[in-house]
Amino acid sequence: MNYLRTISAVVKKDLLHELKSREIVVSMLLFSVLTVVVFSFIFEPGSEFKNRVVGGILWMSVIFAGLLGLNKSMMSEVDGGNFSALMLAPVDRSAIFFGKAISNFLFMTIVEAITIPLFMVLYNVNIFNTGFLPLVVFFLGTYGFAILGTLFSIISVNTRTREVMLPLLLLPVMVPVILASVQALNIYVLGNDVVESYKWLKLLAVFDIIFTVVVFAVFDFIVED
Amino acid sequence: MQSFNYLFAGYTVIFVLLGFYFVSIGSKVSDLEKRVDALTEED
Amino acid sequence: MKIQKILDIFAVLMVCVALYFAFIFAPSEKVMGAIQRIFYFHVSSAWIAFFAFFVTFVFSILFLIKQNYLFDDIAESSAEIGILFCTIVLITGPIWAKPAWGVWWTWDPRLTTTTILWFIYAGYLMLRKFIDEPDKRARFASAVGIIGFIDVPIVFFSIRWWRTIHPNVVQEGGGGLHPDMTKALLISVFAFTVLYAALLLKRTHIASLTRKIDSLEG
Repeated sequence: MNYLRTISAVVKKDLLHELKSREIVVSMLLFSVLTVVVFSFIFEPGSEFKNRVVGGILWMSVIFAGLLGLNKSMMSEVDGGNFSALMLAPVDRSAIFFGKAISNFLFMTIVEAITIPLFMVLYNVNIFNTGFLPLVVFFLGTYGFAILGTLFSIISVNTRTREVMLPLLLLPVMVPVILASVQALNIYVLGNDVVESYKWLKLLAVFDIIFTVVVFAVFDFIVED
Repeated sequence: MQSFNYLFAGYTVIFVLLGFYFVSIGSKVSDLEKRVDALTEED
Repeated sequence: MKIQKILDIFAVLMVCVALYFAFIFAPSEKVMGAIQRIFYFHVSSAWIAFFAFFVTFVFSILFLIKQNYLFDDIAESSAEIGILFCTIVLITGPIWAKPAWGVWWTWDPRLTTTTILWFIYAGYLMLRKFIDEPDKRARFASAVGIIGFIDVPIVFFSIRWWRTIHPNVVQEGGGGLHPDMTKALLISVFAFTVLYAALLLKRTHIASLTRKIDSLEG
């Protein structure tokens, strides 16, 4: 019970902070929409070819915006010595971690909620024409990204180069999530049989479960001071 | 015959990389040992 | 000190023996011809790269449990040697692919996974360079060493599923090896394992000497 209360306290703190400053979500949102717009220069407007790659463009714009947001969110935590203070609190440290991960997840979800409709208008595609499974893809993919992204952003802001390390560490490890999400989205965009996408959803779920457990087991050891 | 050129290139790459690494860590070991000796003598 | 010398000499000898087996003892492959002989060192390098990253994984866990810096040194050294062998795989792979399949690169699951593996551990080694405090460096690097290795099988399976959707350009012929080829392969795997042990011993020695110098210089 205490554990859950710690998580929700951390999430509440982050949301309040974000409501005041709006720095993270606004910069992420601008970036992801900008990526969507810039990527449209790759192909002829209205060409049929686009349907086969738009899933990848949408998901990559979310990933890159996520990288930006993770760095921003952890930098503001570390700069004021806030993170060290949190670590001194007499609560379970992994609860603080999951609090941070959930608030990062929420920030990304807000960004997705605005980027996806805009994307569908700009590219003239409907990713929901075979049902609402894309939402599951975004939920599982974003969770997997947030959980490892939060851990790696803690590591990366502690290095001399600060935010440079995060994409270098995170992107190769994220390959299964990127691959699964893009492949599943492509199936929905092209209107293929949704059964084909189930294995990708399973892969995302397995990834999420494995790394939730691993981070839960490892986190206490790596932040020990 | 052309296939043999590729084979030769492949093994050259392997031995250049391995040899370079092998020699470079070997010389690094002796450098560091000298420094450790120098530092412990100072004390 | 003594063991290091003996291992060095043994490793060099074994690599020479493996060369003999790869070039002279093993029969020529009928379809691919001479280039197939790169197979022995290519596969051995891949095996050692994988094994080295496994060692990093194990010693990362051990470090987190025991907090003994020797384990951290071993994890670091093994990752560096792993990158070396991984690089060899990634260079010899295309050199083999070009004459055998006609292309330098294919997005074959094994090749692609090896590439991702290379990036994961290049990140690991870079991370170590960018953290100055030894205990922070060890703890954070361990986290990456553990997560990176657990990720590898997931990467492999995701790429394999991805590649079965598209038609496969090439399928590595999985057929049975000639018994003499198997022998040559086993010898070169053994030679590389000895070489790995010799390199690891030396590289760990360097890491612990560096640590000692840092503490002496205060």
